Amino acid sequence: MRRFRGPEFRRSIRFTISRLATTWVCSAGIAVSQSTTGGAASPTPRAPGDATFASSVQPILARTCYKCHGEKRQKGDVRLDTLDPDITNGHDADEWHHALEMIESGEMPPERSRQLSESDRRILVDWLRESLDAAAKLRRQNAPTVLRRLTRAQYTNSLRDLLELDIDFGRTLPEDGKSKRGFSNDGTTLLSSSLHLETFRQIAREALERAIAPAERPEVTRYRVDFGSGIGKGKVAARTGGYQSVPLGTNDFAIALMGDHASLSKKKQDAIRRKMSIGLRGSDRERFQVVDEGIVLFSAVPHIEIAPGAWQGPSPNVKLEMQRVFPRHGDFVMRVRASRGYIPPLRKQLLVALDAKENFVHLDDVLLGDSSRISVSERSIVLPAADAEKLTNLVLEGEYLRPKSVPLPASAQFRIAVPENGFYQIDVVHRVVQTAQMPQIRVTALGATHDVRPVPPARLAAPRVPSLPMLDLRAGYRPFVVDATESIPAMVTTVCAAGMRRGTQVIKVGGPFFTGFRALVVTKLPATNALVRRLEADVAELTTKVQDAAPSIRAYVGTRTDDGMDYATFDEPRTVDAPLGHAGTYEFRGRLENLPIPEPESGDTEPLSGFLLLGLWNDTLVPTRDETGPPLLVESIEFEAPYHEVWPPRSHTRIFLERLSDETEDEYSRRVIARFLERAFRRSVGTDELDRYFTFWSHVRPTVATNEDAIREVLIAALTSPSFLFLVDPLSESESDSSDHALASRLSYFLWNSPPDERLRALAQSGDLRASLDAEVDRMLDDPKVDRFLRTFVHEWLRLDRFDQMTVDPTAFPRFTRFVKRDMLEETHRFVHEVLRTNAPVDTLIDADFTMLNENLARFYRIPGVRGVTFRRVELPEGSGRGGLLSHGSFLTGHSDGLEPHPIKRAVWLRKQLLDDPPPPPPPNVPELDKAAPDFDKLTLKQKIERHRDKDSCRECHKGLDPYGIAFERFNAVGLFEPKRKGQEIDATTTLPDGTDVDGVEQLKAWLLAVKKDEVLRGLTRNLFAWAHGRDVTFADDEEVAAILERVTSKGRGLRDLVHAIVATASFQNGR
Amino acid sequence: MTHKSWHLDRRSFLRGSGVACALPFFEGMTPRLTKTTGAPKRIAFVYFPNGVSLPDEKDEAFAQWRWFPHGDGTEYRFTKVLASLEPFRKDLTILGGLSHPLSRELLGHLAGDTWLTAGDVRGDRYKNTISVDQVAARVLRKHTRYPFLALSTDGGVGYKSRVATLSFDQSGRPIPSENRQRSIFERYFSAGGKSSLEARRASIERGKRIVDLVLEDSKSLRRRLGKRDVTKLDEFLASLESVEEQIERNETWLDIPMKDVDTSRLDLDPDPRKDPTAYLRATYELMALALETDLTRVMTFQTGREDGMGFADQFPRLAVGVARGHHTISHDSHAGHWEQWGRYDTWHAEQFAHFVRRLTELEDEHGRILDNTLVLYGSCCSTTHNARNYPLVLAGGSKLGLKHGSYRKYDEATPLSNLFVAMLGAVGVPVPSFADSKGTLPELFA
Repeated sequence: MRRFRGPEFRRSIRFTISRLATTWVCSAGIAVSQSTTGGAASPTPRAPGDATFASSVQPILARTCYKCHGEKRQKGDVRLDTLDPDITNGHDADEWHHALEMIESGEMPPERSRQLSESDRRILVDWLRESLDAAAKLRRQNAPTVLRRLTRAQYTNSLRDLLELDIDFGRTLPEDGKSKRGFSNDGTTLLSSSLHLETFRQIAREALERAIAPAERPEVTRYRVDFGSGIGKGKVAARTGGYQSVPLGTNDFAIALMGDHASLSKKKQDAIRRKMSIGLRGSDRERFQVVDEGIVLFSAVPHIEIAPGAWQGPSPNVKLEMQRVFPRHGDFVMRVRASRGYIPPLRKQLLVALDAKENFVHLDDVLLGDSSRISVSERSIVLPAADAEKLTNLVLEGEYLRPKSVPLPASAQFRIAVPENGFYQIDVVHRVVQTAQMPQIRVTALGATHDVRPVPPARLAAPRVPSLPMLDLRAGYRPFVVDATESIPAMVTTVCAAGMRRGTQVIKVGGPFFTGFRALVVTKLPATNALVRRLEADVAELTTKVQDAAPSIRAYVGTRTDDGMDYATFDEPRTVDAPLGHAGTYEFRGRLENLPIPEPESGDTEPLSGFLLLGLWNDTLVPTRDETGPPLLVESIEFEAPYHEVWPPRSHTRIFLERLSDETEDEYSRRVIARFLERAFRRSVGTDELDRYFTFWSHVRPTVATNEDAIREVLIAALTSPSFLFLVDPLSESESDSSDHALASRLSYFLWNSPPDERLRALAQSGDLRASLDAEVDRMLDDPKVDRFLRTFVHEWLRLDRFDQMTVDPTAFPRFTRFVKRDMLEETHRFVHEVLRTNAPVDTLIDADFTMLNENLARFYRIPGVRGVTFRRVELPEGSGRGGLLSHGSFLTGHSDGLEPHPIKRAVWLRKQLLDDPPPPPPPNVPELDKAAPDFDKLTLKQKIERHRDKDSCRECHKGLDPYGIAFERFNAVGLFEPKRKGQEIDATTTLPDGTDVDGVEQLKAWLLAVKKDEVLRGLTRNLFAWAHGRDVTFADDEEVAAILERVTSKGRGLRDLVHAIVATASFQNGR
Repeated sequence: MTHKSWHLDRRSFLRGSGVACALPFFEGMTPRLTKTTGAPKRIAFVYFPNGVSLPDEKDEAFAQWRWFPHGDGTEYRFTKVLASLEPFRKDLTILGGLSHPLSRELLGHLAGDTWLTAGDVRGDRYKNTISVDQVAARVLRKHTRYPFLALSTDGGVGYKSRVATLSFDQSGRPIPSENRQRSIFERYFSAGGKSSLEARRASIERGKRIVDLVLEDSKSLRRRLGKRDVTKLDEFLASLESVEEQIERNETWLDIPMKDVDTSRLDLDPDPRKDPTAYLRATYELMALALETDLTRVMTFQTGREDGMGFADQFPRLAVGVARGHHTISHDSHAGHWEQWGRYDTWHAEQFAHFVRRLTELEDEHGRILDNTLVLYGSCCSTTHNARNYPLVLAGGSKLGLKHGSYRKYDEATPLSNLFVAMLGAVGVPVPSFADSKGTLPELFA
């Protein structure tokens, strides 16, 4: 390995040391390894209960260790002098075990301190070993099994499998607590509060109401919307306006009512059609166009995470808007007839949004408060408010027109003489208003409207403007600006650009919640402007560019909100390879209850409420509006809900078995209940138990109308029973097979996070499970349900929740979109899945020559040659700097602060998550650094870290921590390789705790594989062991962990082998 | 994003309690409706994470952006941060210097676990103790439909050092908090929905039967488990018993109509990712309504979690346009950071002031709700990670004997638990001590 001596520090001012000093604690979680109380009280040392300890061990400890880990100081939060020397019966075995590890690894005593003599070392180690071995043995014998409640995910999966309903049942349960390792399935942290019990029962009742079919098949809603220029002429449909809406004209689509609505009278059908419209809110007008064959959608440009665009979907996206004419539950299907599209000749007369780089005139720098200064560009036509015509709901106040009633639409009109054909930017000069009050400006021209929300420049932000609470605004129609005084500054908002022809054009400004204004400014954009270039680009050239790529469809369902939509995608995206003229049908399935559909109560009288949105976008994403991407042609969208493959549905027939001809209702019900209990409890059911439920049934039966109602009550009780809710390994009432059933459950909740399937249960029932374990494990690992385990385990093990919750600054990293974020998570999950699938060595997690990518993420990482929306294994090109978890965006971004990388968080993650060697927690009340030092802001990262390490209290720990983080420095806050930052080359050279010098992640990975390979394997083993057992791993498990490691190492260190080895341990087989 | 429940059915037989005290320890397990004499006495706690802006005297932000007022006693002057509380000066006291002794050495984030418990969470076996609201609930529950409400922005319990609830039960176990305004409203305020009395009575009957069966089932399971660890099953049984208790309580209250109140100000689907002001106010509004209707007399509301967990961390960006997480702000040191922090604290305090105002506007037959309600507002650290000198505002209770109008500074000889003893006493739950208290705070009373 190359070694770099004497690393040279380069400047890189990036983060403040106080964050550095303290936040790593936060990212580490509290890995408390504190042995006794932290130091407020002064506990009395316990009397040694063991002669050897008193005579020979304690004096060595006192000589060598107590100085730093005794009464006066507790370095690393470790105190030894108060530990109970009775390791076997006392409560401090884990702490003693930790001490032994430190001594054996040579980490303690530290280099510069007094060392142990060889004989002292032997005495100490022998005593610790013997005592710990005895303690481990005892612990293994007596360890109580903690009953594990099903986690939220396990509960959901169990109900899903049991009822065959794909509903996210557990969504309303309180979130589960996490163990010290971060796992949700640790028995000790899983609560059963009464809120849980209430919720379990509520869910059970509602789930069974869904599962048990009503006598009559419910009405099926089935609509199809066809697109095409002029095909809707003379037909009925709605056009839904509202804030920033982009409605499609009713001439351009036609609605067909099918299914149970087909037989309705035309009048009734039209009443439904009047509740249906097509919207493209969130879409730039130049990214879609209705043509004869349908509607062409260019590739979607991801939305930027800035309000309100962040919740209007990518551009363009098209949706069917259904107001209160849709069912609320059940499976549904969306069918899209589509093909590859083409780039239609662009319209010249249109209104379009501008992005920052296209914005030509920056008026706000020029005019603030002084009207005489509205002269910004010779090209500008300035139209003062006082000259406006046809005023609606506006009153002149000084130089300003302001709305008389804010919520009502206002309007002022100008007729302008456009000097020449071209693109013009439209700006409005108005008073600063608080964004919280949702003010907007609407420009109407050329038959289109465009809305924007003004965002005051930072220096004019809120505090200078009188505040008006939202509630007051809603209650009484008051203006934003109570007193339009001169002290309130003016600002300029760019609304849009307009492609206009020479001659007189009419432009209106206003809208509801209008800010009022002082002037409208129209400015011709030069031919060199980015917008102009974009819109005037040659169609043929654009077409050639995208001919090799295929469009794709991503489907979503949502609810219309005032300023966007609340939505979620469903099903997988589909690549559209049908050629133009030969459209194919692409089908997407989902479940309405899992998706953000409108609340039934949401104000039935509001004209713009209660809209269910069923939409799609072209998912072959492009990063900017300069690219069209491969266009998609959509001919029609169809919606069918509820969708039943069979009637009655399987969820019903699985419960209500076929009734035998000679069966009485009692007999039948007993059989139905017995069958359900066995499946719900995942074992055979004893007679006493069944009697209890049957007796309950016979009490209920006379009080309800149908037997289905009675049985439902029984099943609700079963789903609230601890036999369903807990993983129980009871001493059986009578059957001898219960431990096999318990093993089947342990196995399936380990590898599927779900209940055992029919086959596992059958094997348990017949007693053949233990003999066929290896084959079963392989079968389970190959089943798609393994994803349920990996999604949870990988998420919790790698602390991907931090990535989930990370908000990246959208202005600093505009390319880091929500789709990149989503795909980074996918990469990590699929990567671990691939390692497991192929039984690749665990070392692959540290360094791999492949990763899992789709086009979107590959483009972000700048890895060429990956096309399309589907994820696949991609062999990494030489020098890509990627490969292994350490280069995954999910880890790197999750351990940044959204703006800058965070080396300490990354270092703690490496030690805790990968090496299972969490650094000790920082001391309380970490001293503040002297921020007042005049040079503080100018210090480089390394200098700040060093200054920090100069503090005595911090040095010891940070020595073993900082270097790991510094090695990641070339990866920025969103995981992109960045050799330079702020014009300076980045210094990622560092000296690891063992003295090795490394430069960057590649060398760190090489070192990990050369020196720490076994620690990585051991770390993953312990985490997987903890997950499999639903408890923490202690020193009592050392023996088994060692045996697993030996077995796995001898087989080639494969991840699959590791799973097999864990299943083979006695503790797993016996549920200990 | 609003969270739509997939089950929207109002027929559920039980709208349930938050969580009741887990052990049948106090007041018996069969609550009886007690004839209320005199005004209801109520208690509420509102928490925010990560401490507050506290520039020192040398800093130019000291004058305006320090959370604590300048001066002390009755002559104190608010900075910008708490200025929104000025109209309620006569109804509140600012408390400085208080903290929990056992948490002082802990990282501030961890002290969040103990804000209402004063528990000892040092060491690697998590052990907390009952929170003060639950002590109050043990006594005050007998007067109301629900024993208490535990609310938050994230819901659930979180985990050690990042808890998502302020309330801990008799055994020190965290009580899951609730955060979705719509489901809170449906669960507690519109119990039974529009269904008839008979239907509700029948559903209560069914509920009782199911609980009986599950109890039987659990007990039989417990026997079969023999000497295995049954702690978790006992926890389940205890919770089941409090469910049963709530069913009985619902039965008791079945015929008593809910007080008719104005619910027009309720916003049940505010989106915290867009409008944190509306979001916090929506929960405050539910709290005010719960007090007004005497739904419960005990409430906790955790407005955010420590250490950047949960979506409340994004509030500064959304509410005052500071493009950093709340936790990041609390660690910041660039020039001007005090002002950013102070502006956020100001906004947060404004929402609290809004709540206090609501409590002055709402009245019952005993006068303003605020006068019979004690509300404690505060955090568990002063500045970042420093679990001393908690920022605290005690509001309300002029008819409970409180004497307000001062900024009182304490030294570390006075544990925060003394305040809890005082508050409990004021709401009719006299206790000789709470956790590590060393007396009470008599100076708070007239």
